[in-house]
Amino acid sequence: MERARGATVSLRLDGTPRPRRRFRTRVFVSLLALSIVTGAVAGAVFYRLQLEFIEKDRARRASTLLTSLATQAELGAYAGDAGLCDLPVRRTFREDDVVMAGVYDTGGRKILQLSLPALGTPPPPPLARLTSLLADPDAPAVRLPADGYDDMWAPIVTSVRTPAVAMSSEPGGAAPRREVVGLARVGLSLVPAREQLGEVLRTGVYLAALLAMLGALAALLIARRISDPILALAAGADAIRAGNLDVEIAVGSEDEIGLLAASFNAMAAELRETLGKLESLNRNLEAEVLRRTDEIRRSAEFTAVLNAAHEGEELKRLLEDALATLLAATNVRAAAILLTNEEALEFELHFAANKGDAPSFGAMPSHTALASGEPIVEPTRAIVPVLFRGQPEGAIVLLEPTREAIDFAARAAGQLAIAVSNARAYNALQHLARELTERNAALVKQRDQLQEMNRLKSEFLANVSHELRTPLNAILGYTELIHEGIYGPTTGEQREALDGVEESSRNLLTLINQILDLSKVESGKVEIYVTEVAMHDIAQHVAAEAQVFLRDKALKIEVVAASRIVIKTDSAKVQQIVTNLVSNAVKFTDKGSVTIEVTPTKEGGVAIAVKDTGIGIRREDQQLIFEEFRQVDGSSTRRYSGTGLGLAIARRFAHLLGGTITVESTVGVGSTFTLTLPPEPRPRPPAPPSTRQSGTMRAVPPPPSSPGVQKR
Amino acid sequence: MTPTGKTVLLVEDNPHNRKIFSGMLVHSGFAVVEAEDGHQALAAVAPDKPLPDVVLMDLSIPGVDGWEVTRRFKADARTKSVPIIALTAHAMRGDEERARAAGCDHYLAKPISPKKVVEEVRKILGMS
Repeated sequence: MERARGATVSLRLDGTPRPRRRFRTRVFVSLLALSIVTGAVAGAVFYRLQLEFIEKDRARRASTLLTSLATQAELGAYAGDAGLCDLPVRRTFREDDVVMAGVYDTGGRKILQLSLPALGTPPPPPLARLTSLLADPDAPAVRLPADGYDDMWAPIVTSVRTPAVAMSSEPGGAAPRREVVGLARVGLSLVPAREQLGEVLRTGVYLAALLAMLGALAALLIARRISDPILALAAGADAIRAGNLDVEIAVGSEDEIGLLAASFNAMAAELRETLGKLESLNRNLEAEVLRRTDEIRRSAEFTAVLNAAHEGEELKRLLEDALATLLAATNVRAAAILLTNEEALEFELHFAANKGDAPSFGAMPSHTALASGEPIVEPTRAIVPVLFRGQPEGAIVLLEPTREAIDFAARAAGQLAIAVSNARAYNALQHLARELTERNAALVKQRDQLQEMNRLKSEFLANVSHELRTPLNAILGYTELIHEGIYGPTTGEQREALDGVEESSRNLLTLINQILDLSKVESGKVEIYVTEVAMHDIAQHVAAEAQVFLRDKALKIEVVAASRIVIKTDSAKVQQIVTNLVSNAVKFTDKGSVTIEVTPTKEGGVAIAVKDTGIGIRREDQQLIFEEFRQVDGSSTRRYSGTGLGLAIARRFAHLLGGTITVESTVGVGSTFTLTLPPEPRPRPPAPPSTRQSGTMRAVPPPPSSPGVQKR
Repeated sequence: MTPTGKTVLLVEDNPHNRKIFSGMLVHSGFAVVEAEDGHQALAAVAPDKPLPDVVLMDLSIPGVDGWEVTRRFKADARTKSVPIIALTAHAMRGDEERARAAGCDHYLAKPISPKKVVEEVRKILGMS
């Protein structure tokens, strides 16, 4: 836990002072208001008291003045003589605060009166108010308000000794009868009193102000005295909250706040102690965690090494790394990994690693001894079995191991078993995959080579075709021109020779065309153009064309057609097939006939049989003749010209059209080749290997002037 | 034979074939203008020259090839109406289509009888 230092505490105090000052201000303001009120009340009370005092003083003075005047003017009033009154009145009037002095008789008539000129004429005595004075010698003085002074009246009393009365009413002596003989009047100025009152008021205000100031000072002190400890407390609490448990709140008082501070301090101390314990616990925990982490890490390293097997590590490499990790993770002096041999019956030392000298691991354990899966602990070594699916697959041998090392190895053994098994499986799989990949690559290469060869072949054939046709055109052209006599007349012998040139050239052209046909069929480039074709017409046409093959042979070509048969097929291909069959028949027949027989089939198709009366074909050769470049024997090759491609191509074309060519023959009697075609082309089941056939079918009309299509 | 009054432009690089077709055409009463390669073929129809009535066009020829010469003939308003007969040893599948795509009006594959060529020419010119 991070701990805030003292600096942080003060910083917090300085940093957030406002709320605390407000509190202090509130205390101060409250106390100040209180002291102002107190001062004001005190001033008011003082004023009030002073006012009363002044009043009483005035009353006393008025009484003194009146008494004095009444006493001195007794005789004058009694006599009603102004002269007698003059001295007392004047004496009284001389007083500073007297504005008027006078003596009146009982009838309210003025005997003598002196007044300040500023007063003007004083009002006459209000007799109605003065009757009480006339009736009672002991009546108190009457005070009448006037402008700027008090108009005070008192009775002037004289004592009259009357014996009768005295004797009758007071047996002890002769008591004098008191009698009102006049009225004394004094105007007492209000000015001195007012001045005095102003003085008093000022004093009162000063007093109040002084009190208020004293109160303010006191309030300040008190506020401080109250707020400072609270602030200190708050700061301390804050510091504790912020984590500074070393803080000691010093309030410096023994009151409630002091107690509170002490509680805070105690709490901080408690927290400090708890924290210390926690930290210590944490440290222990951390150490424990570190220890466990390290253990896990070492284990993970081991696992990682083993997992590498999945990623294609060689078994050797895997075991080396596993041992290195094992040695690093434990304190054994040396360790070895044993694995079963091929027969899985005995152990072989596969890898060993050690710290220091190469040690001896002792004798190999027996296979059965490890089957239990329990580690075998011997004085100087321990053998930990590596079981995979219950079978000892290997063992880890540790030299001078600790218990911990054995445990570690035991934990590692399970992983090692899986890893070894994986590695072995992986190796096998990888080997297989490598082989497969190589084989695949070889196949791909082969395919590419074949494709390239095919392309080159097509190109080559196109070139060959072009380069052969050009000179052939010249040979045939010259022959024709000479034959026509364009270069002059020719002899019969020359024309014969020209026929030979022409025949040879045509044979050559046939060979070229056949080779091209075959290569086109083989590369699947033959397209068929399906139309409605009249078979009779084809037969007639071929028969007519074949007349040129006859030369001087004693042969006749016949067409036998029962009815007009029309099927959907490629007429050019059919014509090529039949021409081939007829030319073959002519070739191998010296005398007799060649018959083209057209008959309908049950399926609605057609059978075109080409019968000859030639040399025939041996039974065993009857299929060989359909193979490329094959004639039935060497001698025939020499005797009969021909490429040996014709039948092969014919059969392939027949297959393309969905038909077949069959042969029946008797040596020395003749042969019959029969082309059978369906009502319309249909894909055929896979042909025999020798007649690999391919091609695409397309039901489109032939181009307007396709060279292969003969006009009929 | 009697002259036909018709001129054939014979484009053919092989001297023998040129001689054969030319001989047969002349023999049949045609006037023949020979061209050994594409440049000569193009020069033969220059504005100052009389236009041929028909063209026999070998396709594999040096310089500008026959397909290109055909395209140019057919692109030029002056020559586009002259019929062109491809006369070629390119006789494999698709060759006729290629020739017609370039603008050839007719197609004859070598080897071919010279008489047959003359027949074709006559037919195209409406002479037979």
